[in-house]
Amino acid sequence: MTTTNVPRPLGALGPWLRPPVDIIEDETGIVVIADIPGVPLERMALRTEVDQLVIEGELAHRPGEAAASELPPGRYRRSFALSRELDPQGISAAMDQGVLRIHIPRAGGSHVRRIPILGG
Amino acid sequence: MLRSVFPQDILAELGRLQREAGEAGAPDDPMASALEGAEQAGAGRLASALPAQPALAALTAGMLTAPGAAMLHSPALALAPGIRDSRGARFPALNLRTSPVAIEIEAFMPGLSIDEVRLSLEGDVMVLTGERESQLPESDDGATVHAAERFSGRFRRVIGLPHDIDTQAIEARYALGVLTITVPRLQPVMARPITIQDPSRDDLTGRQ
Repeated sequence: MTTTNVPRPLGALGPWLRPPVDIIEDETGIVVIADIPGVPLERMALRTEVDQLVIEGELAHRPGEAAASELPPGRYRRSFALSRELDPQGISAAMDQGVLRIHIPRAGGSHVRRIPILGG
Repeated sequence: MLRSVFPQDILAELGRLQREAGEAGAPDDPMASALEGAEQAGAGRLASALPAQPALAALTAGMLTAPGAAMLHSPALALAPGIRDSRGARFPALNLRTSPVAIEIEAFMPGLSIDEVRLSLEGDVMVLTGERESQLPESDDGATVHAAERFSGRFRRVIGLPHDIDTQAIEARYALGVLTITVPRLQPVMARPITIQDPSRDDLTGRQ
């Protein structure tokens, strides 16, 4: 996945599109599944910025006169704050038929930490 | 149903929109300058004026700054759920494009296999049905679901087509999670000149 990370001004490619996601967590980490149809791999970008995971994709439209458009041309964008027990170095992702699946592993060894509650 | 986007004079209407968009001073319009070429300005505004999702409508509303933009809300061109479209369902999202030779329908339906999709034509009404399985785990899986926004279940979209289509030549292709359906229009018979006979002239030539 390579694409320019320079953000374009809003409106240059139409509105932002917010892809719907499923987010599932189990003992191995977190899986993010995002619907991003119509975007070839070379127009996708997945990156971590400080503590954020950022998903972006450009939806280019085919030429012709639009008679009706429920999905206007634009940029898909979604970002999530990662918590500290997740390992940003271990993120892996795959895309198939417009569905992006991201796996974010937990940092080694750190599982659920029991927090003692003090009291009398 | 998208019947209403194909009134018989749709091409005339689009032509008029383009002319008016041109007269409205396309260079000053941020939307138009973002498009490749002034002649697409009318179609581009038309597209952005008709999003189905309220959030997108709010986003695009602010962009319709050009004079004459209000005309795009004419009821004749409004994208409204039709009588046969299922209960306001918006999966898959549909984009429709027209040209003199074909109608192109894009259905944004990621993560399906072709076996799960059915496309049929009933008269001049195209019906797209299918089912998308949930990717969420079963309840007793030891997993926690933090977000469940993606569509799952059965879907059905109904698209009204104009009459001048070649039903035998419809093609559909699924790539990048988008089903692209191309419906060719019937081409009118090529114009051919018809000789006009003038008997009086024949008489004159006969005399000469």
